[in-house]
Amino acid sequence: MKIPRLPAIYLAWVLCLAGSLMSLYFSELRHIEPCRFCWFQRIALFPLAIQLGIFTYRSDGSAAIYGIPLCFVGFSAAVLQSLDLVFDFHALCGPGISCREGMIYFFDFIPLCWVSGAGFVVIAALLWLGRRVQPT
Amino acid sequence: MDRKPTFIHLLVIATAVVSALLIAIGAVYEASVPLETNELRAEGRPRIGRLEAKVEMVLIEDPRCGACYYFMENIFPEIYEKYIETGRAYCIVVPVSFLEGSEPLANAILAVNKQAPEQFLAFLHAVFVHFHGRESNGWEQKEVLDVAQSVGGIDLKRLRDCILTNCYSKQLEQNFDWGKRIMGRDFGVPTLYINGMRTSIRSADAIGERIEKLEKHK
Repeated sequence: MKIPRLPAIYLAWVLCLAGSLMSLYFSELRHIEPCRFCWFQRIALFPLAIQLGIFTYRSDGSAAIYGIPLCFVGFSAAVLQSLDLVFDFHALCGPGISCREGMIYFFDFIPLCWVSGAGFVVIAALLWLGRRVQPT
Repeated sequence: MDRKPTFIHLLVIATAVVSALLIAIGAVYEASVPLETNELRAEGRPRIGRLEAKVEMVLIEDPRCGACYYFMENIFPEIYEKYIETGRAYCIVVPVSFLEGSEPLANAILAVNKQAPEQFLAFLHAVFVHFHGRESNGWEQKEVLDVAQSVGGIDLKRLRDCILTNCYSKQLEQNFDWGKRIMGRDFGVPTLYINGMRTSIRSADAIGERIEKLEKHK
């Protein structure tokens, strides 16, 4: 069996899976409540984690058509959360769980919403790169 | 068309299986964690409910935190009615003050608990309601006295003296350090522990479910 280069859609899918598992780890195992913007990011991420697996299996480059709009939704939520974090626009976050207090930081200074926003950009870029693959 | 599985097909299946396994391991781990994990040693702090109750809740909150207000207004009343008032659980409240303008409020909460414990819950609720959604304006010391007056049954002179001298500053500092120690990097408010285990504050149902599970466990 010839081992081909890994398609970009597969890499995008792996990123989505990693993000989804990490999100579930924080909410279900460490019991850190997701805030409103976190939920919007999850709404965009979780379907991608399933859809992209199917698209990869089918080597279907049309994943970009369905995936990039979801990435845009997730990225927008991450940007709004970052604005809330940096400029204290807490009105955006609404009632309920605070978008600022309890924020998770990587290496003590990179907030999770920045990682999430960058993740959506990379996923969208990979989907764009993988759009030329023909269906089997 | 060639139906033989390709490398990509196998890779996709392997990745999906690994992900499913990770989720299953997480679910098994969560289910197997003992219901009571640690002693929080929160005694000596304001308590709502009877100490004989089987289930102990420990609630950590800052009086200027919006999410704490949301919890106190939308979730806590149901918990209070179903489990605290009926003697099935009690709740230890640990006020912390790290948000702007919360120190006089947290001081007042502790002071009211000391001098008029029967008014504690009403005062706590009134503080959250009064200051919710308002920026700190430096008038908290005066306004919290107005809140105390509206609740009634509180010695306003003693309360004012306590607020002016920041009489519980040491206790508040200890509460904050204690909160940071037990939560570590995940420090946040509101946080609820039930019999020593950090619990979701998403809904009254989720909290009730945990309490009922613990009642059966005992």
